[in-house]
Amino acid sequence: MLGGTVMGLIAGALPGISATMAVALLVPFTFSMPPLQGLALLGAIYMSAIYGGSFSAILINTPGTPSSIGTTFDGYPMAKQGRGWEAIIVATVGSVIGGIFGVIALAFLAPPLAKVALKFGPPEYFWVAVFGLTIIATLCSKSLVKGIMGGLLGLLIGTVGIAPIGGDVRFTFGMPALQGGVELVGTMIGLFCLPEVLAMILEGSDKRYERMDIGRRQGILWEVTKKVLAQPQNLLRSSIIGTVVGIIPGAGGSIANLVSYNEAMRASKHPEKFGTGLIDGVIATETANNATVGGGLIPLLTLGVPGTPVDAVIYAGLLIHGLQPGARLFTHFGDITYGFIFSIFVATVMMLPVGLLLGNALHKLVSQLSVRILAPSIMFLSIIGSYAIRNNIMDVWVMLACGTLGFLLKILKVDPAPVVLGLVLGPLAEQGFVQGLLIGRAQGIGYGIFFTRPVSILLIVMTVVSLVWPFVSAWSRKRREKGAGANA
Amino acid sequence: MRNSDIVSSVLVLAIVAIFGLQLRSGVTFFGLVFPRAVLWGLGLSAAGLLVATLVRGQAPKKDIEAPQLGTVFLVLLLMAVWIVAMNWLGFYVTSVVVFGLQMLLIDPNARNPKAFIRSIVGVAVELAVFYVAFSTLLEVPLPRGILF
Repeated sequence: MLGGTVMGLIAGALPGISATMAVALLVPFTFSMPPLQGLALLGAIYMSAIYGGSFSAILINTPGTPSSIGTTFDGYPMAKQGRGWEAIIVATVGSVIGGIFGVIALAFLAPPLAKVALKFGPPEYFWVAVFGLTIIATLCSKSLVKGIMGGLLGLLIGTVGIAPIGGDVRFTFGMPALQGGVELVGTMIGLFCLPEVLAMILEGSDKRYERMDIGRRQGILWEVTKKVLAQPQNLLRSSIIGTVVGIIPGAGGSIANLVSYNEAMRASKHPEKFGTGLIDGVIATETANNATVGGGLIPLLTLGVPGTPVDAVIYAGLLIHGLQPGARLFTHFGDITYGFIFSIFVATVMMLPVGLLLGNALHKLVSQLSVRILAPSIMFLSIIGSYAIRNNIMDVWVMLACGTLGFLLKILKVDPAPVVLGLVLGPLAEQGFVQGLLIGRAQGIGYGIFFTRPVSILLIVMTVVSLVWPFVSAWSRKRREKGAGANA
Repeated sequence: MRNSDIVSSVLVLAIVAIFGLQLRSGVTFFGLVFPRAVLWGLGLSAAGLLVATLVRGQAPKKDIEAPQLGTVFLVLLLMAVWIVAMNWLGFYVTSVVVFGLQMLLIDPNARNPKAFIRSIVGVAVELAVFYVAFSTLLEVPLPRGILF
């Protein structure tokens, strides 16, 4: 866990390496570990990568992960005023509190939800998968059609190999190596990491940032911690926002930190001071983004629906340890599942000493690391990672092919996240669909089985709401802005 | 034709055609029903996007930004060489050589002989640490070739 916390922190702090990329690169290395140890490592990386993003947001005005965009608003002005270390302490304490809140919510909300999920049959699981796919509407609100195309492409790639019902072999193009299907981890590494590395190379070979005095002094830790703890409302509000946004499919830390910043500003007596180096803003964003981790794991562990791209990678991490995400995790593998939840709690607490001890080194690292070392290092890890799962060179080729496809999609403005989501949810959707159809035929209602059961109807309603919600919210925001413009 | 909507929809239609042709060979109903629905959905969304873009008359708009495609191609080619050679020559040796070549490609400053030698020694040490950590500590199986 200590290793995971350090690795996640470094990865999160480096601009260009997102939490998704960090977890995807390191999933294969957990393969040789016992399941709980491997999952603890992944959980620690996930949590601390989200926190690590605050270092580059504060010190170089570049969010290390999209979850820290809002941290730049007040964190960087603080650093420019010589209060960089103060901002880092605020981010650290906020991240730890938010992370703990999210994990507690996970521990208390997931088991009852898993009990409900145990009553689901194939038609319900089909709709759960479809509901999970509605995350695309949030991820790709700029071009929904392209998002849908990406999701369907992922579903199609997921059908390569032996069919889950009936055992037919499909889409192998005469290659026996594809009969087992497309290896999930290699595909994810290709789609998430290679396009980012290529973009990094194209952006600039040797970007260096200015190192500034961050204002470290004795006694500052306790002094700043007291200031943070003196804002219980901000901490609680941001933790709740982060957890709830984490549970909603598609939202995640990148949205939670901005929503929380906005709410902190609305609740403040001095909203005009936001953006000038106020600790309230850093507390709001960093507490919320770490709270999303626990929140996002709730639908993943109970229903098998990943709410964000990082959760999709954790899904693959569970699979390589022989654990099928869903309610059975709590009934059949309770020791591992609760151990995993507890390990994330411990990793969150560990972020406090680790973050503060590594602070100076990370400052040096984010301002000096060169792309010429970073890019080939990521490629090296991508190759080892995709090979390690099955010791199969074909998986490395699949990773390279998916990386090339991901870069092509990036150029064509198609987000690779829906492709991965389709790939992850494809088997669940297909199995639910075909088994549901078999049951429907046996009952003489055929496809009607998908539309007549109460839970299915509830899931259909949730799917429609989730699909339509981003558009309704964008429309209402536009109307509000128009109204405000007219009043001005 | 450099409109991203048109290019992506044509690309997807081509994928639908390739996968659709594969479905012809003796697959039962239960193996067919789901992929066929996905193919239909994919084909319809791609065709819809293509028609909508053409009808809206936005075809001439060039919104694809793809600078330095030559560099991208070379990086990907070096990765392919990496994959082929590591199984034959050995993982560590291939990685040091390809890593060095990647550095030369990415950063013009690294092309100075002195700087390059310094970097390549650093890379050899870095990769040796990775190699030992993965193969010994994490017990991750790595490709083996003539060398190591």
